[in-house]
Amino acid sequence: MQEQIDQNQINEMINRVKQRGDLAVWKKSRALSPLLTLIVKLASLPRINVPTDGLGRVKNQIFNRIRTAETSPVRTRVYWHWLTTLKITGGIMASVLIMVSLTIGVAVAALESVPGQPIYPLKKTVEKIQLTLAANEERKADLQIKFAHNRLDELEQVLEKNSEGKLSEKDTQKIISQTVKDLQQTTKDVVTATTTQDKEPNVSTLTKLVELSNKQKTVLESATIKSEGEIKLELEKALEVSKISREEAIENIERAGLVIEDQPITLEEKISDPSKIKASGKLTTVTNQSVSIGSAKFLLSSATEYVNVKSSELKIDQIVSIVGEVRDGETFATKITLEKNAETLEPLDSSLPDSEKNSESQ
Amino acid sequence: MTDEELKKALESAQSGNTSAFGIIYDNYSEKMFRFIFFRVGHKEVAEDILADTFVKAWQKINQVQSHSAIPSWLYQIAKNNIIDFYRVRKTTISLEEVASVLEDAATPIDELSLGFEQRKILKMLEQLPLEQQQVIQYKFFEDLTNQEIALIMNKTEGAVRVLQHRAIIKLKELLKRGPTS
Repeated sequence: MQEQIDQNQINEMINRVKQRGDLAVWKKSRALSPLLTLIVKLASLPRINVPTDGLGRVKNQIFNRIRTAETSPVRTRVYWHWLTTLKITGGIMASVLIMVSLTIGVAVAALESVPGQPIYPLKKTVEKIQLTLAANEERKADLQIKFAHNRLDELEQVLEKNSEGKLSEKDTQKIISQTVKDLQQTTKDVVTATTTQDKEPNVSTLTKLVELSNKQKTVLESATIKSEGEIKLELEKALEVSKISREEAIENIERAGLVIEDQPITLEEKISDPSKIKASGKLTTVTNQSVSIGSAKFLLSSATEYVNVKSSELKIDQIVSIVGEVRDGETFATKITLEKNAETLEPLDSSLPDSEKNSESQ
Repeated sequence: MTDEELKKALESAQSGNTSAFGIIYDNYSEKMFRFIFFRVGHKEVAEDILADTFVKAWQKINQVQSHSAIPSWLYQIAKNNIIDFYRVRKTTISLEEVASVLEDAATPIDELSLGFEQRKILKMLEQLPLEQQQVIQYKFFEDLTNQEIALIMNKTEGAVRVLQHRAIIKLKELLKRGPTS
């Protein structure tokens, strides 16, 4: 009980000292007076100056983010007629903008610009207009992926400028921070778009997302090694987000049923051209014009190359690898390789010389 | 700000009023910033974490039952954000360090301005058990309440009072005894 009283007394003494209250009652006590002196000394130790001058700016940032979050897809769906109006207005604005820009050559310069340049905001405006005018969610996701590639290219250019001494550490850090935030937002938007659509996930988009994540990983890892301090920190954050989005994309591909003997659809790890796609799996649809692995549809053309199989021999349940190319929003098969026959499900001997394989070009 | 004003601000913010949320920010941002700053030791990083903390707070504002719970709730969000920050940096900081991040706060004391007596007190403080040191730091150097300290240390307010009492008694003894080996 004695200790309980002492605890409360000490607690009361501390509070009174911090509130600069009356301490007379304890000063007279022989037992408590030395404790009071110690408490006063502890309370009067000099503190470091905490830099709170940025709190107003942080408040603005918070409110900007809150406002951005409030313009959610749910709300835009409710006010679809507003969106239609916006699209029309956006279309007119875009036309005017493009006409004016082309005339004075600004648009070309804007598309080539990097963060930090006065003309750069125009590039972002053009991208926003393109997104607003996108015909459907799939096209929008494709555009977002394209813009994310732009951000990565810009990131590399900014880091290069910094290493050449053309850009200060402070400016570089500021630009990188903003670019990385844009990149993270774009990646999140694509992941959300591919996971919340009512219809089956679009494998072509998901595949491109995985490719984007691979490129992000390469670029960011390389940049992280070369960077220090806050720049490094920003890059590490972006790397973490990139890793998560990649895992989510792969998970969605697997969820779409594109699995062969516990092996997920294979994705080319190092495709430098973002328009190239590679997928492997069981053929689910075969027609004269196209073949599909699950929801991944590849159009056939005269340029399609066939390995281990003739075009007329393609049938459902065969396991194939397809290399595709995205042109004008459609995916064309450039090369189809038969991996396993449907009847035997035995792997074909890949060591056969080329002359013994069935290989033809349509 | 009075209790009544804070209560009204919370109710208004919970019905979607961002200005009311701004009042809550104005009331707690400095304290939260100090808490974060001492744990990450960098102004810009602390500002980013502060922003994340209040954005999350806005998103979950309806989870707060009472205005008196706001500080504890904000500390909880900030604490999680600080841990996330160190997790993201795990390539350079070990997981063991992540676990002890909240104990490894930077000292808020301006050591360059210390007098002889004050330096001695600080030196003696290092001889206290870790939890007693933490309570002194939170209470005296960061101006946290017992309720806030209890939340950060995962203890009851009673346990905080006991630690505080023991720390003061022990420190007095150490100072009386003088430096020991």
